[in-house]
Amino acid sequence: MTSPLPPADQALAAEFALGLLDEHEGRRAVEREAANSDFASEVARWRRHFSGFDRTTPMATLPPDLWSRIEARLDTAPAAATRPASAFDEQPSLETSRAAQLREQGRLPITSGEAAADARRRLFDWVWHNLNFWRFGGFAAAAAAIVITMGLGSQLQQARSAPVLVAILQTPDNQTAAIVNAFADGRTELVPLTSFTVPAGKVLEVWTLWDRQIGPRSVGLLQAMSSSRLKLDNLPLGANQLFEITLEPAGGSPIGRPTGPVLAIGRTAQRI
Amino acid sequence: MALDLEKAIMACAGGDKRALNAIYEAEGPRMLGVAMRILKRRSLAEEAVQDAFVLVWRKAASFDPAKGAAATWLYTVLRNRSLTILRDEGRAEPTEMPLGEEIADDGESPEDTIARLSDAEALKHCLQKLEPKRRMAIALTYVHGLSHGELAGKLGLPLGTIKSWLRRSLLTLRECLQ
Repeated sequence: MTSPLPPADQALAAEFALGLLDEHEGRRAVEREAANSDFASEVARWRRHFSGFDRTTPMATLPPDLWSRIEARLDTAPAAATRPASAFDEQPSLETSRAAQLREQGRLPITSGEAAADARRRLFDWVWHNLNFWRFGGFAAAAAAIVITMGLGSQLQQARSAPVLVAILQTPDNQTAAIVNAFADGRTELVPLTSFTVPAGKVLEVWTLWDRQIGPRSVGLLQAMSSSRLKLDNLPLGANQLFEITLEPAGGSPIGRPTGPVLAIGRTAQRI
Repeated sequence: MALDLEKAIMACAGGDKRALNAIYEAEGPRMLGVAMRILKRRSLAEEAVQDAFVLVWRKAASFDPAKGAAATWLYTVLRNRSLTILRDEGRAEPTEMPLGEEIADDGESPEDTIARLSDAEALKHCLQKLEPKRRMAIALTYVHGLSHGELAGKLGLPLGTIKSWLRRSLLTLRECLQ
């Protein structure tokens, strides 16, 4: 791979081909790819090399109705592209089929012709309100749970200080599963309120997410639901931060990101 | 006979739906596998494949065989769509993830994935010359769509240094690939 590009741009082309650039960097790389043939061929070479990984992937069974779902969306899609587009460049009119699905179910307002960004924001808003709904929906249980937590806290010899942040983790069917308490001195604990059946060869893994760009981080592994200290170490912690528990293979997720079903989830709220 | 992917994409640009269906039949199962490695959940992966075919249909005219192989183009469209779904919506839909939904849990480690690369690929031989942690980072990023932050967490490296560490790994890999 000889190239007149400086090493920094060679690495940038590789990051672009891997899919590591954020939205802004990605847009700039798309522009460069269109304008600079050296950069474009560097990107193309990386993609060609990495495409070997695609061929290692096991085939999956296609659901019988997937083609008809695709075909149903083609009639509205003009085949001729109006401008040269890199594969990275999303068509702004491509609404996520997830949003469309929600709309069909009457959970998103019906509007036509909105841009994808708008649809995404609406979806995010919807989920956000939905999470809030959960939290307030389970308020009575949560209030009781906080009292219980403080009781347990004393057993853990942590009664001297009350938590500054509390997250109530709920199961998908709105049962309160656990509380996460964060104290002013940085200690963070998980207090279980529901026990989960953990199959042999599996563990419970606790995650936190404070920035979607950075992604979730593992903060604890449990064989069963039990009171435990979470390893937040130097990770940021603030209000509205997501915590969740997923079921993972023994030893924890092999890829550093949740792979199993979400058993419980909730966001932190500041104690008043 | 194997499908001529390049011809099929060009036929899509001319508005031939049968060509798109032929691509779907030939590549769909592997495309769903690729999307499941990134998105883990079957419903999201199916959505990515569905979106990718709509994008292929719309963007077929922008495919230029002089700039790269048809398969690379096709899988780039799919990976970009999968990564967009992952980063935008991936973990914000707790109520949309029923327990017990089929998830990709092939348990394959990054080392296994690298071992499955064809011996004819320079990529395999060159990755194997890198330190294990460095080749693992590259495989996790491409195959599972990990971000810098997720890589830092997985490899136990500080977030502040992961970018430059990975760039060095990529430049070392590049020297071997030339």
